[in-house]
Amino acid sequence: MKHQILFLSKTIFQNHYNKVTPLSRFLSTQEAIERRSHLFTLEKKRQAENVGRIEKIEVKYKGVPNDCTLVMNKGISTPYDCARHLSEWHVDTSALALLDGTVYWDMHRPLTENCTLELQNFTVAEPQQVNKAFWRTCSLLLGACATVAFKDTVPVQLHSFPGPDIRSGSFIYDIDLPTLPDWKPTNQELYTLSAEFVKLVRQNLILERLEVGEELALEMFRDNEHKTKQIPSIARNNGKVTLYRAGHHVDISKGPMISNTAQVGRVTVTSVHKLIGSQDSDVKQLYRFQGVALPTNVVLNHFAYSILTERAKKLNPARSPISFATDKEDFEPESIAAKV
Amino acid sequence: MNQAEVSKLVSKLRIKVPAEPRKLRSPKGPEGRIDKLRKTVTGLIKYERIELNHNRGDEARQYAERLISEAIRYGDCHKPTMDVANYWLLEKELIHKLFKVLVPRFENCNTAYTRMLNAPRPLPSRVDDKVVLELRGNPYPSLVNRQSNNRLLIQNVLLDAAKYDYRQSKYAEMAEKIGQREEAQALEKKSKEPTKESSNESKTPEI
Amino acid sequence: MIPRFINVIRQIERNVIYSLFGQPPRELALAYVHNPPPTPAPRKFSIKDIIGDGYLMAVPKFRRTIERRLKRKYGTPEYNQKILLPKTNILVCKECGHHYESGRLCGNCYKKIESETKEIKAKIVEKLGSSPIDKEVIVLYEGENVPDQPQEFWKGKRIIEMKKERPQWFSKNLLQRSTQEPSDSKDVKPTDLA
Repeated sequence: MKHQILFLSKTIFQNHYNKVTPLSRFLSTQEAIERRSHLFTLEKKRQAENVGRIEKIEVKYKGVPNDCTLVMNKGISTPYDCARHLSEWHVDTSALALLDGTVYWDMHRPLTENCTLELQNFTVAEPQQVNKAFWRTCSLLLGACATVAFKDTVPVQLHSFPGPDIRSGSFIYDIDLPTLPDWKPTNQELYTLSAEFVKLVRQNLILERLEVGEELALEMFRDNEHKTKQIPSIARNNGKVTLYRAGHHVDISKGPMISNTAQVGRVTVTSVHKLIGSQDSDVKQLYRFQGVALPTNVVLNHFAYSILTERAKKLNPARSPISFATDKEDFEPESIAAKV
Repeated sequence: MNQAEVSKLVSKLRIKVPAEPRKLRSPKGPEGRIDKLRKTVTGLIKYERIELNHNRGDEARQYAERLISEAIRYGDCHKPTMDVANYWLLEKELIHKLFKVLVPRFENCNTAYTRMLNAPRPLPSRVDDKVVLELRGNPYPSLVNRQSNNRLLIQNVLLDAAKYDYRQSKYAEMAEKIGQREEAQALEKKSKEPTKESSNESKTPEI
Repeated sequence: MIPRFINVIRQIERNVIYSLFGQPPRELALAYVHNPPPTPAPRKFSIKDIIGDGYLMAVPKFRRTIERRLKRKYGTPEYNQKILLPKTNILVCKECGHHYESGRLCGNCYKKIESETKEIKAKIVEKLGSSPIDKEVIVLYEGENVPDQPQEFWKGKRIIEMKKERPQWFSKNLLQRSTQEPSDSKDVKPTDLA
């Protein structure tokens, strides 16, 4: 297995994507995850080495405790590094960075030019974008915990997740379980899924971002047919696909994510609904996993939280990716939509 | 024996009044204690915000609240109240301030008239408790930031949406019930009409 | 005359006898002989040199109880705490980003407010002096116009004008008791009248 991966990585470095020999045996979910993560690491390392000579940029920090100018490395330093210059509180509580008052930037994404930096936490005056990033991260982590929770005999094919809609009351991931045509999760199974989620969250994983070429993305998601179909349309804009990694789980998503899974506080996986596809579509049915979560700094009594979980149990009205006969271009999952 | 109705003698203060008065050591003894407290209360009424130690601040607060509540209860012309104010307020223009400014300010007040906040410690290792005592409604910048919660915080958005959803479902339920009731009424009316017709028919042959 | 004669005879006698019996003349006799003090024979070491008869030393009279020993070692939280305990009640102020103890005011924010309050107090005392105080105080900063309010609002109010810019954090809304917005009118300020 390792030998094959090394061979694979060598060929990638030599940019011979098309000539990669297919792996002789079918990969289990676990092995696929490891492989994806390994490829991610290699690509990240390659991109870091490509930066070359280190140039300096000026980052003007605006905010608490006092405005200051930081001199950081271009293409290497992240807003997280800027926060480390300020204080531990900044490091722990900032979830998102705001550049020049307009662009929302991930905390662990390298800065590329001189800019004005504001660190956003969950109690900022205008937290809409931070909340959206939070919801998006929770969807990603829901996919992660679903791949881990099932036994090896049950293959899990992640399909996609739509853009974050907080007012709907729950975050979603649409997952294809080909070997389970009729599955209704019992309460115990939902608790187990929530426990897996919490385990993942308590590992304090950083959400790393990487922009990757189309071929490499296709290579990474080779075992997942749904993603393989989505990648060409995602990469249509500029040939790049943005990937996020949390621990070993890699997924495709366009938008900024929060800085660390430790910022997720209370979380519950509330329900799983079955989505039936139309006659034309290739995918016959999807399972919509739903959950609700709150950031760590929020203190809410158990009754209010129970209201939220009860509401999240109802089927989320977000559009299903498979249940319409029109062509797929109408559907815009989180990964595809325009802005980078 | 019959306990007197204390609330009819003295207005209830909206702060915690301990059972025993604090000793507050002074060379003149109990008289010195009262002297010191008089100065403190005068300072509070004059400057409307003072910083002092916790013990004396707490005692002075009780006396200040009692003074203001007596002034509100009995008003300007009551002689015993004027005597009390004269004794406690060492600068005589403050008596005017008490009756003309503070009484209208606190007349319709539901909460305590003073606010006591713990001030930051001058040195972290020392235990002396500094305290800021102020009258409510003073013109200085506020020490307490009372801002309502941001509607856009994630927990508020979720709860608002849940409340809206619940309301909508309840309206739908009510609308359904009304609809059902109307249907039932309509059916009743329909069923009554044929019986009326048949009764009319039965009547006519008799004639 | 006679003692002198006797002396001479003594001298002659001495000289003759000494030269006869082999003693050197007295003039050549030793005036002083240095005798070093006699060194005593080195004595053997014995404990008695140290102790001798004995000496008094302070000694505990009673056994220290375990309570006292622990008190000395670890102290008490109320009086003198010798164990280092982490302070878990330190929070970060949202306005200024400095640390403050929970349950107390933020030090940085309080310093700011305190200095502003002192200035206002000084102004009030300077302006109102020792006449009977029968009006409430409203504080206006540089460049602020008197808010457009109905006549009753101004009956019981005294205006203090501060000769500086309003600080960012001192909100004007605190002064408004009604729901009316402050006016944007360019009316003349009270001090500019008369």
